[in-house]
Amino acid sequence: MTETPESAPSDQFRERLLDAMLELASETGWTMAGMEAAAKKAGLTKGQVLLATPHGVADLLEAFGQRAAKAAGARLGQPDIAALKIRQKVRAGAKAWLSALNPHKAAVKRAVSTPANLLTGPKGLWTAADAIWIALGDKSTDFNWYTKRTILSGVLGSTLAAWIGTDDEAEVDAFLDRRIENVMQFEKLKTQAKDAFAKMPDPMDLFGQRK
Amino acid sequence: MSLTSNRRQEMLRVDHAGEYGAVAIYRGQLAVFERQQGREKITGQLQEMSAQEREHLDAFDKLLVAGSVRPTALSPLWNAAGFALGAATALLGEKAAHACTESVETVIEEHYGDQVAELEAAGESELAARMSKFRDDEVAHKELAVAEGAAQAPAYPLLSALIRFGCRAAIRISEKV
Repeated sequence: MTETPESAPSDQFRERLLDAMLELASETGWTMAGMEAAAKKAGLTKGQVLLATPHGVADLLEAFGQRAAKAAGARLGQPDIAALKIRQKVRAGAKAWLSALNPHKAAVKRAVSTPANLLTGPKGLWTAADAIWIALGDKSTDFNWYTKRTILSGVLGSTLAAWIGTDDEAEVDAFLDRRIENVMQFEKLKTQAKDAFAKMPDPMDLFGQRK
Repeated sequence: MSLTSNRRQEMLRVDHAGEYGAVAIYRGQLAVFERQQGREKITGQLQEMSAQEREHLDAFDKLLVAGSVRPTALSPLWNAAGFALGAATALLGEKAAHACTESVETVIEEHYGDQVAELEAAGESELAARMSKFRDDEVAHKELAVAEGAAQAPAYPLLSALIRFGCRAAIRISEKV
């Protein structure tokens, strides 16, 4: 992929607008009025805002999701991660993602109840799950690509709900560990089912009798 | 004009899906012929062509991972449809199996040809050269199938038209989904 080293003006405007919005959102919510206030705070013209976020609040929420996902991916690139087992790596990615959201908890709470978030919320979870799998060097190029991201999105989504409900970090960690444990049990069951089916006769053998 | 990142991803996604499907077709044909007697010649030919498709698939696997490209969501469908097409044509006999190869590879040759032109126009000469090599492999498969009497398959015009239509539809769908 060829990425230009410096980001486009529209990306820069969006980042500035997002910074301002994250400070204001706990008061204004992720609304048009909130965005106008954020634009003023960030010193952006109406045209610049339109260029950066043609779909309004949804674009801003998406940018927020991408920022958190990037943080999760970056965490997994650090040297202390390499020696961990896969489930510990996933755990570290999920925790890094929550840490990126943590300074903006009030803004996240407002985002969860924003209509635009019906679409961008799941998209944000997916983006985070995608970033984590890419950072873990996932090589799947078939349907596993989808199941891995779907399952991790589920883990992230439910853990996010737990995180919103409490400020006790240990409680959230324990919740996350239980969700990861659920996934591991399911994977074990899948392997067992596969082994059981491997002993069945192959229906294609019927055709061997044909001359 | 350089390619947008989205278009590049589409091209890699559809090619990956195509090679994935091609491997499934040969697997379906081999599943039949390997179980029958007196099929040594075609089995050998199919194994050789299948090995080349696998090489192509490996190359696209790497390109997808390197570019963080989303694979097609329909891989289970292409896998099942490819296997079924392969097994069904093999059950119709060797000529029909070759007709299947010939029809599929005709569409794939066009498809790679279009991509090579598009990539060259966009200045992506490295990727264009790889696609061009893959196209040559596919053309060789087609020529072998023709030499083995693909056109003498039962209901050849209908069979060929159906398979070509299916392949073209699969290409359009896999670019997006």
